[in-house]
This record gives sequence, structure tokens and C-alpha cells, in this order.
Amino acid sequence: MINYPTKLEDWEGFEIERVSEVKVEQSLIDAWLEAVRDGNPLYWNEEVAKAIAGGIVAPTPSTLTYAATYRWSPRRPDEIWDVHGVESPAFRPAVRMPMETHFALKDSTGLKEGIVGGIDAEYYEPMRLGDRLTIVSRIVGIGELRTNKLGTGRNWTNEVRYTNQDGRLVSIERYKFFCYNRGA
Amino acid sequence: MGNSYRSLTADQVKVGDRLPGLRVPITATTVVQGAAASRDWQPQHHDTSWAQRVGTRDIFLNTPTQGGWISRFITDWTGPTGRIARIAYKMRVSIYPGDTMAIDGVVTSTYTDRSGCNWVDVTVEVTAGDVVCTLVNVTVALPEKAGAETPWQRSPDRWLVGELPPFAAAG
Repeated sequence: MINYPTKLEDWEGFEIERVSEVKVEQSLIDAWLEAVRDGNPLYWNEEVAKAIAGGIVAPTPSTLTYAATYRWSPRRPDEIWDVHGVESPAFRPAVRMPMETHFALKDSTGLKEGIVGGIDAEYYEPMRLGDRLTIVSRIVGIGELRTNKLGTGRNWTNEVRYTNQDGRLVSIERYKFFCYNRGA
Repeated sequence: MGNSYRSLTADQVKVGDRLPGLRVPITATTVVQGAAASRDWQPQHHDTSWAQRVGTRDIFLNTPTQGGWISRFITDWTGPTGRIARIAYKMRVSIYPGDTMAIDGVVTSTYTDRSGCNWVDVTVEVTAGDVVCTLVNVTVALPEKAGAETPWQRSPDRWLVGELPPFAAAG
């Protein structure tokens, strides 16, 4: 059970940590390569990857693949990630990593829409086959209420830090949101 | 398939160099396949009626998929010895089925850090027709010259991403 802040100021710096449900594996890498038609041998050719990087690595910007919470999993069958709001209330809501803090802050503020204006990502230790990431999702930089052509809302950043099972930093991503209600 | 590959080195790169462009016709399949590969089941990336209800003209490419195409664009140029250290995106307009996504880039800076790592900054524009959809800055490390160590061989204490200077180019 997560104790979410009830006051807006307490969301600044609020963070949630979870170990990913998904390991880095070749079939997921191959699906990514299919989607963007990437033939880089580091991602699939063991001989070349071993010579260059000590083994196969996952494509650099593919952290979400190895961090996103399953919408449903047999390992926690009473939880579901219900975007549409149509599931039975008997389900408990899943923790929506890697950006649970963003989604929960949207819920808390009642700001229904959200757009990403920019993302800054830094990449450190590569993701390797068998890795399981630990994800820390954190809110920083909550802005004042403002109105623009989209509506009335606030800026905030969801910072996500990924480490591997050895505690080494893999990546830091900063998602810069504007969340708002239309026409208010 | 053979094991030969391209390996761009820092001594072959100068500011102003243009990367080979990439053109990709975008279909609903391209969008959904990218969303699935990144395990991103937010409806705006697979459900047209949802996307239109929230005010966009159709489903659109998610950012990780754009990142995947950009990463491919960069390492098609560098070869596998190039190692991407950071990507900064500014999203302006979404990319939809029916668009032809064009990815173009130019080298804006080259420098060597205190550990001897050779860095290249590339400014990338992702466009659809005349519309600039996403502006991106990428930093990639290259081997110094033919036969030199690759950036992938650097231990964490010699991979100083946290010390990189701010991007020089607006993006």
C-alpha cells in the first residue's frame, strides 16, 4: 500500500521504488529491432557483441520495455492497470511503473490531460541479457497553476532512475509534462 | 550474415558533417508495433477512436519508438562501436499513420573529456512533410581512431556522462 501525499507541496520529491516485473531478454530485443528495423549487431550477434561490448546489449532507448508494469499478471491476479475505467472494482489498481508518480499526481490534482513537452535521457551502464532493473519514479519541479491554449494546469517533471541488479546506474530519464483540464 | 561492420572514428568526424538521412513511411502497423515493442499500452498509440476523442487526428508514434528510430539513425552512421550517452527530445507535433517520417542530422560539436573519451553532439530533426515534429540532441561516443578502444570497453569510472557540457545547439 502506497501512502500518497495529500497536499500538493508534499508531492515535490515524492518517489516510488519497484523492481521490474520484466527481465532483459533476446525475444523482447528482437521485437524492438523489428519495430525500428535496426540491424545493429550489438543487439543480436553474439560474436560481434562480445568483441565490442562484452556481450549482447539492449537498444539504448528501450528502457520502458524492461520497466513497464504488466497490465495484468498471474503473479498478482487481483491487480489491474485500467486506463479505460471499465474493470470491476474488485480489482486493485496496479502500480503503473515507470511513471506511477506522474499518474498518481494527475489523479491527485484532478488534471485529466497530460502532454510530454520534452524528455532528457542519460545512459550509463548498458542493459544486458538477464538484467532486471530497479526503478525509482520521482516528482520534481511542480509549477504554478497557469492557463495556455490547451487549458489550465501545471508543469512537472517525472524523473525515473534505473539501476541494475548490481546496483549500477543504467539510465536517468526526465519526462517534462504539462497536465491540464481543457477549456477551464 | 558476416561479422564485418562499419566503425566510424572520431578522427573522421567534423562539425557540420551531415548524417545520411532516413525516410520511413508510417502506417498504423508501424505505430502499434513500436508501442508493443516498448510495452506501451496507452490507448493513444493503438486506439484511433480514443486518440480522436482526446483531440489528436489519429494514433501516433510514442516517444520510445521515436527514440528507437533515432538510435538506429545514429548507429547506422557510427556502426556498432558508437555508444549513445544521452538523448534530449523536444516534442512539437505528433507523427501519424500516412506521414513519411524523415530523420536528418548534423554534427554540432566534437570534444574529448578528461578520461580521453571522444564525444560527438548531433542535432537531429524529425519531420513529416514540411512540419518539424521533434527536435533532438544526441551525444554519442566514438573510438578515437582505427584500432583504438571502443566506448563500450569503458568502465563506469571512465564513462563520464554526468560531466558532459550542456548541448551547444538549441534543440
